[in-house]
Amino acid sequence: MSELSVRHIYRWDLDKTYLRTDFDTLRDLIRTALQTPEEKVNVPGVVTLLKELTHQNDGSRALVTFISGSPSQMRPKLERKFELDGIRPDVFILKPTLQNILKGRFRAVRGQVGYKLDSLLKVREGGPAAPETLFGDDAEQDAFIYSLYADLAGGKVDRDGLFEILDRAGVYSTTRASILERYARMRIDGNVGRIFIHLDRHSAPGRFWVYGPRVVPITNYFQAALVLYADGSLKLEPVLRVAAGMMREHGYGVVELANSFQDLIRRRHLGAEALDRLSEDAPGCGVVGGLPPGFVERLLGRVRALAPRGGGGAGRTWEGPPDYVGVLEADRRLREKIEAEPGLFGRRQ
Amino acid sequence: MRSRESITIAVDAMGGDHAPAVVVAAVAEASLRGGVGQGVNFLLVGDEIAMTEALFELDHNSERIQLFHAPTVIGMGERAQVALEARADASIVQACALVQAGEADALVSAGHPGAAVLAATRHFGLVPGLGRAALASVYPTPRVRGEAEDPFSLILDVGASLRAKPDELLGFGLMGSAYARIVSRNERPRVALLSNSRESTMGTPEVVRAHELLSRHEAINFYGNIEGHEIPRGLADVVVCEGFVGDVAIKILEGVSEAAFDLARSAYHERVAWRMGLKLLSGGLQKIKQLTDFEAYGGAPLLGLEKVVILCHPRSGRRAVGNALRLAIKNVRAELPVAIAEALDTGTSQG
Repeated sequence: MSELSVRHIYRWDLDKTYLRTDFDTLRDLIRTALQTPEEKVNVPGVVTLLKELTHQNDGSRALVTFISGSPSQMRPKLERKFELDGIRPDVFILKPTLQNILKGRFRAVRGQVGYKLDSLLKVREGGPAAPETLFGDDAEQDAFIYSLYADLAGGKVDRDGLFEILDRAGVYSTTRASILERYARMRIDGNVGRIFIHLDRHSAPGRFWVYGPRVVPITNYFQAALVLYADGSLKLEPVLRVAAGMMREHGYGVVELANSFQDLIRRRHLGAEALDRLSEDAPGCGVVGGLPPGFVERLLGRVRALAPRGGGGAGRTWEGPPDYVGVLEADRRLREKIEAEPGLFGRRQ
Repeated sequence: MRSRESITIAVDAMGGDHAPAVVVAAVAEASLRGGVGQGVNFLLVGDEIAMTEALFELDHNSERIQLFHAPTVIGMGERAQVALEARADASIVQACALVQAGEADALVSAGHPGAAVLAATRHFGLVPGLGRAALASVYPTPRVRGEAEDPFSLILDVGASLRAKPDELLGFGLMGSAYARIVSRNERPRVALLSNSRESTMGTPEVVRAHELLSRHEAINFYGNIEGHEIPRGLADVVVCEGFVGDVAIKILEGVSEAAFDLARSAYHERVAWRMGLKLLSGGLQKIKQLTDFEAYGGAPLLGLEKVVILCHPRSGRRAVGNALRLAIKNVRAELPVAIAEALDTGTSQG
């Protein structure tokens, strides 16, 4: 590890958060497994944002860790993909899927709570203390796991509470024991901040409100960049470079980016003051290649012209921490309801 | 069909009996179709808090949806003209203004029909050569037509205005022909004039004169007069009539379908034999219901304006509004106002 001090830690999921991956059907799974590193497609803006966040400056550095549910057999291909993108993860953990199958731990093949939480705590154990920002997606339980991790780091969930949550989540007893051991040694510093959830499935943002305003559902990484800019974690130029990359490589226009900006204001993840600050910073900002002339003015003009009053949904009151057991119960009831839906010839078997 | 880079549809979020919930839901669903670069965006116009609250609970692609706050709405019971004069900040007025300003390419509304027609005709110019815009509705028939194998007859006008002069009815015929050519890909649509008799000399003086004009016009494949009962038989591809008659006709046709299904429902509970018969027929009945359900075709285009305008039934549900959005996109992609202007131009030079 570098001698430089660590200013920030970014923890990233891989599938649907970094890579555009389909694994909803068996065919998708096979296709994903057979894809070459060159064929794998990134989520728009992710590489630029990651590079901007981990860019070395001020004698400090940011760490990036990847904890993915992809099977460990994918490691060579995924490492090659990182190499192609110019990304060097400090930690890269993949799921021991084959071992789970061989040991008959079939719940662990699909389940994420035990695996990801244990991995997060393990990485935290051996790592430096620094503010953390987490990135996941809406395909699995990232918002749940990351929020729980953040609340453990903040000392908001005790051992008994954690035990009950893990029990209800169906985590195998050995994994549960490992998590509880790590929890006992855990550094409680409240260092985990923003949790970004990439809405790969375009899920309703309200679905994540149960986790509170710390969780920011995002449709794209321009939105994440804007929130990080408002938080003071990014300057304007890197934000614009994310936008430029999305326009150049992924077909985004000013309209889509302005809509994304407006969406954050509507959901109150950004205040109207973010517009003013951006407007103030823009003249001093260097030229960013790939952006059309007058991009910032057009973007701001569009957001302002159609700007909402900012009184919408996310403004509702939230009393945390989340009721994790309640969330698991609600999920279970929903699954049972779906399974109980009658098929064409009666009830599903 | 010409290709366009990006399309924006302005949607009056507050219009309709179930607004804004169903309108926002339809837009949310439509935003999930197609990726970035395939370019269809939606501009929802209405109460920002209500729209935001609705979107918060819905799966949607926020990259494709923009909100514009309009604080008031014109209610169903209001007099259109008076309400429009009094409230320039109403959602339908603001939506029209945004289309007029070039912020959007088309308008979709399920709001007060009179107010929507009036606002649209005030904001958008008429296609050159036309005296009046017409609201076109479709009705399912057993016949299919054109390359698109479209089972629908087009009826216009169904209520954009009450009366029409003979030359305006001729304009409806030309517009309807152009629309059928573009949407149904029906090269020579059969145009008929709705009357109380097949005889060319029967009907109001306007209808008699319109018959003369339509039959003489070379650009129109004129079938002649048809009577009301011939609409559902699909004898004509385009049915021309004045708004008052068209509005009454389309509502009767919709009512007959609904009444038939109400009768079937009653019969189902009355006798075991009828129930068994209906059970056996249920597949076919379901198909008929799908065809005759107004939600299946969603919206009616207001033809003759320089912008695409689709009006939905005020009691439209999510499916109907969703289909209206599809129709708006299709009409914008086909550059319908330009195509109608070209058709009228050709028609005028031939006529």
